[in-house]
Amino acid sequence: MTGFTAHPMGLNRNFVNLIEEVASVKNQSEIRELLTRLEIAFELNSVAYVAINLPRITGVDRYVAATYSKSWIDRYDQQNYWRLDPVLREGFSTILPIDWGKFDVSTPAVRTFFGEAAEFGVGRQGLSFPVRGKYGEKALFSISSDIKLSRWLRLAPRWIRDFQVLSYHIHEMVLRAEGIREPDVKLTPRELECLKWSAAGKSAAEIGIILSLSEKTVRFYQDLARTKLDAKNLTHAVAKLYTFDLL
Amino acid sequence: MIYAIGANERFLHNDILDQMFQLRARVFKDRLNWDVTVMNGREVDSFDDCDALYLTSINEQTGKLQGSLRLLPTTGPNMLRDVFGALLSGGEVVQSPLIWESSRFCIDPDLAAQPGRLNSVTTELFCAVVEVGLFAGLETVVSVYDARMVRIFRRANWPAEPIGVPVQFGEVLTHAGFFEITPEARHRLGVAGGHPFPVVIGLRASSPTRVLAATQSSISA
Repeated sequence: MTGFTAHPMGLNRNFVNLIEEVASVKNQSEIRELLTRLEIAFELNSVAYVAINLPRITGVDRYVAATYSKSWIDRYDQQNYWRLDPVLREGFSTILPIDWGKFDVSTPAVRTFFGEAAEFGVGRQGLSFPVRGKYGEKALFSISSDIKLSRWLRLAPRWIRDFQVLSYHIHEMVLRAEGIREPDVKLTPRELECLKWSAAGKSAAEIGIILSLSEKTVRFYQDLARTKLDAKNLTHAVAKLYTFDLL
Repeated sequence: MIYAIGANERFLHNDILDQMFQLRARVFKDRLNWDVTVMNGREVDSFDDCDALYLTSINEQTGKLQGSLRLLPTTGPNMLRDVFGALLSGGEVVQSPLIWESSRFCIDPDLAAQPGRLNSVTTELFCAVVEVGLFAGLETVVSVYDARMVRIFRRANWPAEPIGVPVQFGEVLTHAGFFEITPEARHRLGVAGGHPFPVVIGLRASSPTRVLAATQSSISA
């Protein structure tokens, strides 16, 4: 990426270190460790990352990394709070940061949910940051805290910008650690055409007829595209086309 | 007043959004003759499915929509990246959690200002962009705009910092630029357009102070 990546205004050394730490995470096992370090650094009760609509190469429809206790995660699954949790519902549709305090707790189910969360150690105050990614995936990064309300009200507004930046970097970290990354390629129109027809089931000879090229030339373009996409074979290259929306 | 309507609240504001899609058809297709798709008198594109946040100016007396625009994060699908990439031919990428993109800015043509004067709906919408941006912790808003907007930004005291090189798309010479999101920018816009008080409804209502206190008491109760 070149150019215009912005930095938070209150740019301080610790924050830069933190971002660098996030950037240095290379594999899955380090993710949870990093979330725990964040939790400690900001005196939080919990830190959680949930993503949906990740590029289909991953084969999962939901990705979760959180510092919640095992018992809360079990409870959450068992009660299917995935459907009820108002933070998730809102976080995957709005793009504005969400203060958990905005949720209407007059609904008994929602009140029970937040009450239980608190019993299982989730903080009573919380902020969530929606992230939208380049493949159309969505993520939500949430923090919760039990610090005194007066202190929370002072800190939360100041945290918004830092956590916007952190949330995005954590999302990128997960994509990287999970091996989901954009092929760093630009296919030429010819290469794209030859792959597309192949995706439509045409042989190199047939594509040659369609595009008025020799079969050999078609294979040449397909091979170039395959190499650029870092694909093992033609089928793999076509799969990557779909995964990364290069069509 | 301005309603900020996210995908989570669309169902609450169907009527306003329907007015907006019709206004967009009138402005971008009928008046400006842009290359946009209009169906059933409504202009809708693929970015409207990307959790866009709409800022809509509503006449308090009549409830009628006066103008609107659309915000999208630059980390996800957006027009500068996916449609107007040619404006950044140097290989630059605008992709930051602190930069959102504004697009589909339009004002009801019947409310056009006197020549040489600023439309107060225009400045109200600009103020709303800054208010929402500050709420979300942004630093900058990026937008693609045509020559007719350059004068308006200058008059509103919210000049664009141009990026890339202007490009001719169809009949329109198109620019891209950055806009400052700071309390100072909000103040200057307020002075230029006569909006001393917050224009966006709802950002305040969900501010931590009041509602959190409510959560607190009900959870411990």
